[in-house]
Amino acid sequence: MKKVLLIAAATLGCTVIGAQAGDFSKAKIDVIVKATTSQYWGTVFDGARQAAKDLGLSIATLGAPSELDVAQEVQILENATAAKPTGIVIAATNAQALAQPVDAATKAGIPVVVIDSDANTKNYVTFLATNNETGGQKAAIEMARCIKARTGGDTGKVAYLTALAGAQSLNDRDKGFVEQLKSYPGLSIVEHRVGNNEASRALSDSEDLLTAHPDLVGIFADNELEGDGAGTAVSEKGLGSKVCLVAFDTSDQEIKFVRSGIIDALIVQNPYMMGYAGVWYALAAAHGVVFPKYVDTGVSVVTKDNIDSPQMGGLLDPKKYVLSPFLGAQ
Amino acid sequence: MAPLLEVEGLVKSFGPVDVLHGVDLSLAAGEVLALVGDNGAGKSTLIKHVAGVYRPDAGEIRLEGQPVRVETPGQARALGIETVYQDLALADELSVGANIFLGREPVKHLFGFLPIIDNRRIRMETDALLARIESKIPPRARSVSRLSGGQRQAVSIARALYWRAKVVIMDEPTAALAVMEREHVIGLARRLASEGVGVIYIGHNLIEILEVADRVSVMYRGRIVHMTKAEETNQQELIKYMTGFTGK
Amino acid sequence: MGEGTLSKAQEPGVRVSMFEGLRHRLPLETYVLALTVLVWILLAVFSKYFWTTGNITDILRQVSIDAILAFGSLFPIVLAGIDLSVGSVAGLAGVIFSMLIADAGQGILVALVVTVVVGLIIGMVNGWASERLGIPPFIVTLAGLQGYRGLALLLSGGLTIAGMPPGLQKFALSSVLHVPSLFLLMLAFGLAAHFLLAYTRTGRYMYAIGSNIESARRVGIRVTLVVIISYALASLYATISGLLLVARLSMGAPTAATGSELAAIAAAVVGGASLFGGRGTILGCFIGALLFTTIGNGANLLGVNSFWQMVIEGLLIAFVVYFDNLQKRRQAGLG
Repeated sequence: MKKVLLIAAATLGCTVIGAQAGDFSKAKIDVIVKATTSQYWGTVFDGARQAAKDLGLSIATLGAPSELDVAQEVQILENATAAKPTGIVIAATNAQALAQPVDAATKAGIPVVVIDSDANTKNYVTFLATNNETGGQKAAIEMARCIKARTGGDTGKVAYLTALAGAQSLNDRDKGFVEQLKSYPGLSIVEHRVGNNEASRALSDSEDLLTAHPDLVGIFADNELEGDGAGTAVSEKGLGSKVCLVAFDTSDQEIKFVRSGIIDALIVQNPYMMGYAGVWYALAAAHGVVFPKYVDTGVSVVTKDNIDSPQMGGLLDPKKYVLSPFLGAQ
Repeated sequence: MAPLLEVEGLVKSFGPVDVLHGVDLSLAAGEVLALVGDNGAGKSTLIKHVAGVYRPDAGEIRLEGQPVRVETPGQARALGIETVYQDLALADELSVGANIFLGREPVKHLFGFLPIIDNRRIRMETDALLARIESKIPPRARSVSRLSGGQRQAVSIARALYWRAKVVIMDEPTAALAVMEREHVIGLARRLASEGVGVIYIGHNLIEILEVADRVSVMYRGRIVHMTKAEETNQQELIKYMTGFTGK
Repeated sequence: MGEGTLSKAQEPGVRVSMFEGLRHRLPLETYVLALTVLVWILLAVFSKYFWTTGNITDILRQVSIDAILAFGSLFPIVLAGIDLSVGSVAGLAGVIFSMLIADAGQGILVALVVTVVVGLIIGMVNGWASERLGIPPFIVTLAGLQGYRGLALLLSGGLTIAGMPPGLQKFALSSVLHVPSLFLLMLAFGLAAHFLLAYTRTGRYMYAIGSNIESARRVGIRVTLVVIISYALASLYATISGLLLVARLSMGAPTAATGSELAAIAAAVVGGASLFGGRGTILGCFIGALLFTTIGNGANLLGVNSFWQMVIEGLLIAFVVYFDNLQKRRQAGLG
């Protein structure tokens, strides 16, 4: 696998170097995300724009305002296909609904790079995404490490919060967390709450959890709004030094909580790289490069200790992103 | 002394349709004037001008000899013109007292500055008023939705009485009522007249009209075609005028 | 309705004793209050953590913001209207308020005034559009539900806004004589709303308009003005709850209070308000909100599956509305 990637990267590099001598200014790549109004997707766009600048091509940043609007995304993709761009980078809001339009784009001869969330087809160049299950596993590992550091033991009750029912990426995170936690027989999951992707609901749920289980030692929150709410509850009840809180993503509030010791670890994806590599891969594929069907963009763990390190800086603030050779997650 | 209410040369059209072609009408204090006519004759349009719902294209309305402008229901009420509508215009969820005082609630001041409704006064006045019209309405009924049709008419009439209306317009007040209740409402109309109120009574039931009215005006196609004392006419004659079988 | 009388249920034409009147119809609030007390007792029995100072304080804080939103949505409901935009307005208010502080560097007071003014304008537009333009309030505020949420997302770029002064959250967590400040604030807003509805002409006209808008017009009530006041109050209360959410979480979130318009309307309805207008009380709204908060808290304490919790809440709404209808039909039979 690694070898394939190296070859791919090398080919890509050559193509691009060769091409920079030439001219990509006529190349146009459409980048379609799930929701144009979120920080996460904004970072994807940032990465894509950087790639466009490096490569001297143009991109269009597209998407529905809301992740709930599947139909609109389908329409955007169909319109893009009709306009025959050099390549398309897309995050599929719904795997089933986007499968056929992705097929159609590929059949029309447009290379499609799927990022973040998969479409239910194999007719695309590659799928470039966070492995959410791995992210969930890392969350469990961080939680166990934190509990060990705090109590000296590896026993106790933990709970986890799901932001929203029915979202594949969240289900994968939860699955990874729950499975990995089984390797710590002393840690038991006593509670699971499903919210409505809203911080105040997450706050109430967390407060009640902490009331119902005064001996709770860990909470896992599977996205940023759950992290914000759970963090507020833990800080309100003054349990920052007692409860190990591990959360996904990087809202400003979550970062503050990491600094103040309320959140012990953040599991951070790399949306910048999805946008950046997405555009590169699409261009390379248009020039005949073949990629593996799946490339993991990796997750990182941010803690109080490494939050100010330069690598993390880029993950927390795309403006500080430092590009390094990217060969997929190790 | 001028009549209580005079309508002179009232003209109204809705777009191309002429509804009233110069209507004259006069009403004395203490009398019940019945207004009859077929559907579409213009009865409702006429009284809605007096009640401030419509504005006339031409013509004049005089109250106690003075020309008045009646352009909103609020102005009509302020002038002492009350209407008892056939569709029982009460606020269903409000109590009897709240309905009688609706729009004119007595106010007292809490802590000397916060204006609040004086519910105690409303209750007392309502009790006295209902006793006065010998009504069987439970004065404290929480909402008038629980009252019968006749009782609801009685509330409307009591409202007119309480506010010392000079003119009360009753628009088919018995249309939806049982026989026993009709008698009660007719009694209330007579009672209003006996207290010096001028009553315009619109109805279809000619037996009832001849029982309640002092005078009868017949409307036909936007004009008043006949005016008579009630004791000098009969059903056949009225029907003749209503159906236009009299020339003109 | 503000008449303060107990003999609420005589059959027409027949004087009945106060006792019999009570038997025929207690206001719905009474039953819902009884149900809430029952749920509290059950929870106290089944969870040893329910009846603890910490948990009761949590419940009082949790109910406060929801109840304020429910109070606001009662005004249009009394008019036989509805305001579906309150959740989005709360979200938008939170975003404007927190951006004014965090991004524009304004003080809390300036941010507060600006946000409240924006909220009032939104409400007045809602009232004006549904009354003067004759667009059903359901449609007007449905557009608001979508539009104001969109605006909140746009303004914030979809991001949560941190950087609130610590004093805000300190206030949200503070207590006066062991009662959370948020709860006291909710009481104050509740009392003000109750006072308006039960004791002032404006409030009475709201019930009159909700009962029979034509009769209200005919007695010379300035219907448009009252409708605009009503929707402005709904938005004002939504704005306040949005601000309190910001204080509580120490951040503005464009998704805050998503879907809470339905929770607010449900609280009002469970508390005895009629969507057909003319009926509903602030006390009822509070009890309704308290019941929902208690169910949420209880489900969390007892570890009831989150999805079952939703089913239970749905059944509760259905049951209460059915029960209310049943009572009304029985009354109609008597009358």
